[in-house]
Amino acid sequence: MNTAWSKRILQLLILAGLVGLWQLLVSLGAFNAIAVASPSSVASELGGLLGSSTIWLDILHTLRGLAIGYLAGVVVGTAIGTLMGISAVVRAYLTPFVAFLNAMPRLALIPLLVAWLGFGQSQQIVLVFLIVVFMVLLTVQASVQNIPRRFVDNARMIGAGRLQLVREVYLPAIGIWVVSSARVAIGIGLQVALVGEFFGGNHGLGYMIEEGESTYNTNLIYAAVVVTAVLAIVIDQLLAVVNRRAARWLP
Amino acid sequence: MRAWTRGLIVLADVATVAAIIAIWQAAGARTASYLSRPSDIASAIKVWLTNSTLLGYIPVTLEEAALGMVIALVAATVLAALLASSSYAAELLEPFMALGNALPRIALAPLFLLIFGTELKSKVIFVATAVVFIPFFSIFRALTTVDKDILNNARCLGARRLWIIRDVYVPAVTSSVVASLRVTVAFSLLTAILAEYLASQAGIGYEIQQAQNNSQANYAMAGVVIIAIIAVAIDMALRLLERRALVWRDPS
Repeated sequence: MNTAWSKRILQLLILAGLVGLWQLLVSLGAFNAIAVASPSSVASELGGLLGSSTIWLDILHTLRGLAIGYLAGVVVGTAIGTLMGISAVVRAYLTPFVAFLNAMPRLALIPLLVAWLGFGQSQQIVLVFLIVVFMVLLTVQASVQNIPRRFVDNARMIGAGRLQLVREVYLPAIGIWVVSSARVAIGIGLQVALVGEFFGGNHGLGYMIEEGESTYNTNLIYAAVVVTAVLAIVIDQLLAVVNRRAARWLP
Repeated sequence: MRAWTRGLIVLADVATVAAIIAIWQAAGARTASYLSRPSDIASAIKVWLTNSTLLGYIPVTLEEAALGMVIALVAATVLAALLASSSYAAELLEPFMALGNALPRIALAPLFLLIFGTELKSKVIFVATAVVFIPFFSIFRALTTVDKDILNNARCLGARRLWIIRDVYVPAVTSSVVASLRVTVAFSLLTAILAEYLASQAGIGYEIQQAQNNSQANYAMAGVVIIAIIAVAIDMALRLLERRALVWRDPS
């Protein structure tokens, strides 16, 4: 038999074994029933959830917060990062602030953001923005600084104006790095978006997890966690594909 | 850049910070109390420093973060060493590692509180789980990409298995741990505070949450300022350590 296939089968067996062991331990009463739900009861909860429309609205809600926060982070991060990459003066001026804010645990701001912005989605968006913007900023700054000097000189020599220089030299260089950092940034952004929903609002997958916890609905927590995990993996795989496509023209 | 340009920039930085504080102070006096004011925050910190509640809370948070991180480092090293020693096991378990890594682990905090309670143990396990993949991938990569020439050279010189572990693998692991240490430490601190926000009886995160519930914005802000100072100080110290520790490495 093909070794690749035998490996796949073995992996599936391991997975089945783990789920089986989990089911067995729960039915033997090895765990506190409030804390650990069995795979079968999670599966039936999940079936009920996927049949209703609210779960899809919750997913959309989380994705919306993630998308707005991420895009705002990319726009602002790219703008400031480009300036810092081009101008040594701007870089020297802003570096202390960027270093401080980047080293600071920004998730610690949650209670303050909730107090300032209320329980709506804006605190979640700001939180995602605060995390993403510095990742993008530092990536863009490094990529602009690393553009080989001769690319710029060559483009100038064959008569490129400032606008053409931006379009033909800077944007492709920045773009490729923003795309390649998107996988990490969006992965972390999703976690942050979920955490934001623990503390405010009454929609989204994070809220669903929190709701399950506060009402001791263990099945709901596990079902929401499964949906969240699948969503995270789907997004991650999609971005991996985008990444490969975007990097195709690179030498 | 010339020296005086550099000096001017530092001056501009200081002026910016001063301006932010001044505007905040002026605006805080007019707007709603939840913004607090720098002077109120400063006096809140002063109160904390004198009555020592905070001094008792800082070690609680640091203990959660440190214990969780040490467990994560040990687990990551053991796991990486096992998987690196067998390429078949590594290939077999690769999808599971990728799955674990793609899981939004920070968002699983409520689950940990439910299973392990709100005590120290639960926070330590949460921190360890949230953090473990950062050093794991770093160590695994270091172990699997050890330079073949170095290995062969060591063998030529008559190195036994134990020597190779001591002189080739241990340095490779140490330098990869050091290289990923800043991210690991930052994440440990962050997840510990997050767990405290969700449910706890002690710690800086607990203190901030308490202050917020009692509408004491100045204390909540003071807590965040102290977290920021601790985190930035640790980060700067680790940056120094990193520079010293990795000096011997090939610049490539």
